[in-house]
Amino acid sequence: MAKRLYIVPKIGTGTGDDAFRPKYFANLDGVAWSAMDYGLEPHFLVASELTTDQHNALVANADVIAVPANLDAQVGTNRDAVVDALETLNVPAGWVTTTMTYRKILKIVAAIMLFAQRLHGHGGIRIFGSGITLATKFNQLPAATRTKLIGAAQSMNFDTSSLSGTSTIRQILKEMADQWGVKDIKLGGIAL
Amino acid sequence: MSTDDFNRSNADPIGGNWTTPSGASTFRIVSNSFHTTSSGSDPWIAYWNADTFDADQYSQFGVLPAIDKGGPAVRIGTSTLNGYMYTLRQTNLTRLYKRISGSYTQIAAYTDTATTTSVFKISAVGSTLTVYIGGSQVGQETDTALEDGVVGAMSSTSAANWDNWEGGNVEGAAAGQPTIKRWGGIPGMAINRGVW
Repeated sequence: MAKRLYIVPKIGTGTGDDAFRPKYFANLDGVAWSAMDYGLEPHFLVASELTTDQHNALVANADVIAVPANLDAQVGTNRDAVVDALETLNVPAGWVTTTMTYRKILKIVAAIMLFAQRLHGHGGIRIFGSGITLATKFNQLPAATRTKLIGAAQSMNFDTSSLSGTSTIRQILKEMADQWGVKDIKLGGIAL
Repeated sequence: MSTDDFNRSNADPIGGNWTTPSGASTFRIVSNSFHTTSSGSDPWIAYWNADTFDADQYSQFGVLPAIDKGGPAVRIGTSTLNGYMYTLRQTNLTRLYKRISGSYTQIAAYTDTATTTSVFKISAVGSTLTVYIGGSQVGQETDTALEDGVVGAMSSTSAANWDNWEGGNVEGAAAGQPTIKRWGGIPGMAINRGVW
């Protein structure tokens, strides 16, 4: 099979012997994979070339999302299912339209994940701490979180001037992702 | 470019052009190669202190007995103990990790045909991490957690034993950070903004 993308849960405790890693893949001996974490959120976007049997076994798990092999197909009638799947993972997805390709959608999703990574690396925090949802407004966040969120955005040369106290996490993450620009996001040889 | 062949008297800790950040365990020189100390605990970190480095940088080692949980590292935080590290061969697998706030995240697993004399290299250019074995690219990933730091070595285990380090800036690297693109700058973005 060709290399495909999957979204799977995070496992591990983060120690050297039990690093955070994508569920299922670490148990596939001899299989190469590349993973993009969603900062401290509990999921990975993974690129891997599996055998048909390995793929079938993987997608039989209820907590695995398999992205269609053809990333350039439009999402079409799967739009609502895609939105539901992403929002369940705290990835805002209301912007998905039926005419978008999976590649375009995944680039925005990946950019959201990359912003979460910077928030982790720069501020040492996760987005969705206790009680925080996609609907939480910026002015409802703890002051320290607000400062770190702005700091993470500015460290990526993102413009934060449009954010206001009533901006929701949903809006903030999408706006930060849109500022990624035209540069490819590469994962395991797949360019988004 | 900075280099160290470690061909000098045993030293524990290594000292000289290498610094162990506060809170990390030390490396040492044993029999003209670079070792973790046998005592201590995760993480073992040493960075090259004789030069300054741009954010776009690389680090590489020649390998002696290979281990899974340590190797050349880039964007090492001198106070945070963060960094990206390319770990060495284990049953034909190499691995890319990041260490953030005391926790390790595995970014990738690569199949390879590395030998114990291969040169393992990791580079960070903007948000692009690239790893090489023997000069050939093994993998390339996007990660934004760490934006800058220094170069050297990192390990989560005391079994490290490497040689012939080299590190430096990635010359001529294109800016890796995304450029600012406001709503009006990308076709379709103005339409999408109203979907909320």
